[in-house]
Amino acid sequence: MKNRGKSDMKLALVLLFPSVFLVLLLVAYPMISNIRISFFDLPINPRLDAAFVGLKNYTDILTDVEFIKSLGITVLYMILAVAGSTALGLAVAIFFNRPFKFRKAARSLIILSYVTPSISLVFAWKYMFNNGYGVINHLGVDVFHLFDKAPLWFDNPVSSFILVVLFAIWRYFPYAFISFLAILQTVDSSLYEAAEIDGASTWEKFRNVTIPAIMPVLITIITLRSIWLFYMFTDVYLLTNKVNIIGIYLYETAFAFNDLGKAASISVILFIILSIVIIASRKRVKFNGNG
Amino acid sequence: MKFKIMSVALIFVLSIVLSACSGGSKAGTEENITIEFMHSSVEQERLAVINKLVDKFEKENPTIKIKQVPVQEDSYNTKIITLASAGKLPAVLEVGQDYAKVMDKEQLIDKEAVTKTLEKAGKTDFYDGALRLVTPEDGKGYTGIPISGWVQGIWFNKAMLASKGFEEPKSWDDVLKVAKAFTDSGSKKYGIGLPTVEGGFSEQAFSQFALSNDANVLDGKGKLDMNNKAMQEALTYYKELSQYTMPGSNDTTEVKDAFMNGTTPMAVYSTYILPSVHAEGDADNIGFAIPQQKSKAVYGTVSAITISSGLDDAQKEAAEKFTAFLSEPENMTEWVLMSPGGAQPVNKAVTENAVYQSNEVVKSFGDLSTEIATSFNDIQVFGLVGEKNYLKMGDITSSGAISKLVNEITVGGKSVDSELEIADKKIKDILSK
Repeated sequence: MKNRGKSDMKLALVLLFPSVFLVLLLVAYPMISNIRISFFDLPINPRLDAAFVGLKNYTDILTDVEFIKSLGITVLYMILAVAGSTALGLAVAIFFNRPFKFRKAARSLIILSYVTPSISLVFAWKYMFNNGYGVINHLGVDVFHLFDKAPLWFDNPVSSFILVVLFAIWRYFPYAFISFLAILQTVDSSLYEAAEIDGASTWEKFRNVTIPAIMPVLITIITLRSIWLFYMFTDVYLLTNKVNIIGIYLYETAFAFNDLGKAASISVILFIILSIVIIASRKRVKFNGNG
Repeated sequence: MKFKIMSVALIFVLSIVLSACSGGSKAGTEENITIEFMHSSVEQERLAVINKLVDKFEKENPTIKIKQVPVQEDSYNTKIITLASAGKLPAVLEVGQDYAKVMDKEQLIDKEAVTKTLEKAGKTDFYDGALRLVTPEDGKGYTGIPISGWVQGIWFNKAMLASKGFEEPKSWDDVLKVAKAFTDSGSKKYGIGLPTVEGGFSEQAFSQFALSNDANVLDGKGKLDMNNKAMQEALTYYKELSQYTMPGSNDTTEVKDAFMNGTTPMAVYSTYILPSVHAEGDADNIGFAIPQQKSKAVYGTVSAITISSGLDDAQKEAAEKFTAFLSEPENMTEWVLMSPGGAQPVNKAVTENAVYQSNEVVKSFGDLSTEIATSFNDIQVFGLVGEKNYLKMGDITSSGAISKLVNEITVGGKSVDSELEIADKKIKDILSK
């Protein structure tokens, strides 16, 4: 019996080896290499010597006001966009969780913003908000006379920030919508009937039946979307240069200033920050008995 | 037994994976050698031209194979950095003059091989302005062999200007007068399509006005000399001119659209506006003016072919042969005509080439084509002082300090003096690192 166990273990290790090898090759090696680079002033040319600078890259970054500002903007962007896209996705999923005509067609239309490539959406938005011939300014100034002068939407840091958050909410809510719709369809309708018999209001039914039922999906969506938006680059970079989120700060450090060591140290710092936030939030969820 | 078979199978699979990961050898045998050629022509029609050139070269040199690495323009510089860091930089590369400076600073260019090839190709046939752009800071040798280029100036609609009694604007004052006369913001008509975006386009456009007022960013010794009277005058003028352009940050799309749809009679743009003008059948109606105050200043850039450093002898020899082949007038002509009108010749032999001159688009612009080509001799760019092309200008441009300055005074409406001081301080910080 003992021998059989040992032989199974060997077989298991052999079978696991390709996956472990690939994980080590594709995840662990780049990670360790990145950490190593973060302690060097690394020239682009590998034939030139890299200078060991110790913690200088880290101290430079942590004392750079622009980095702190970028981090603050990114956190605010992430919180607002995650909250907005999750709430909108949930609201639309609840609305769609009932039979009606053309439900399938409507569902397909809802996910359009999520499946269309970013570049097309960004150009559509830029045209919509164009200062000269954008439809938004045309409606606001010429049709409804809401403004005397067309606002310069993407030239003002505040309106640019609002627009990139709205763009993220609109672009990413279908992901939450699909996930919520799937789990909502598994909720037993008798629970709602029982709540109704107990005299529960709509809000009470939502709080006591819907939320506990969708909690695992809700946590997963919030966690994943937070990670994705924390590292966001493309959407914001293409839309405006007035919102300096951390992805743009990192890109500029690495590729505009060619400072690979500093860029590597930024990614290590971000990884640590995000890991702490996620571990803390998962622990809290487990503590509450939902995770 | 089962365990042994599994182990052998796994080792076999892994060895295949690892050998696949290791990639092919760079150089082949003594008889056969393969070198990589990285360029930014990813569109089908352009690739077809390059394929034809590569086939022709391989026929003439049967022992050399060219492996193309076409990369989108947007991610081109990023790709160079990643390939260079991995020690996998292709032997021959197409590169813009600005990025050639960055590569030179990182010792990624074999300037000796490039210079040797350029001299063989006939240095005197290249326009001086184009050669100055690929001259390194120490003035020794070249960072690339110019193959094509584009220039930027003020394009104007002759009929629109004539309708209000104007001719080609020659000076700053002329430009301002025309711009003022055509601006009627109530009906969304403006005098000039002027770049105001916080990006490279604004720095390029503004540089023409600054340099025509003898205001450069660096002095003859390569020291920062930006916060001075000449620069203040140029910024004040640019700010005043921006009152007669479309509101907000104007990038290439806005400027080109405004000129093409008649919203403005003038626009600061590169020669890449010409293919659209030709498509509209309006080639006779367009004129090209160069901003002029104390001197003339054309902004321009060249695309060059360069050879990377660190190659072994056989690869270097093959790279030199291929670069020399691309520098032959008929091959450069093919290259330039991939985008007729947009890409401009940087070599007199191309401008005079019968195939170039008989091209439909080039022909449609008549003398304008020659006027544009020769304007390469009036090229001035920030950081090029006399014969010195300072490397540090690359860092200044990358910092975005100048484009931010232009954007803040035009779109943000901020004061020239305070923003110039902020930009000056930012650049000082960057240069001190």
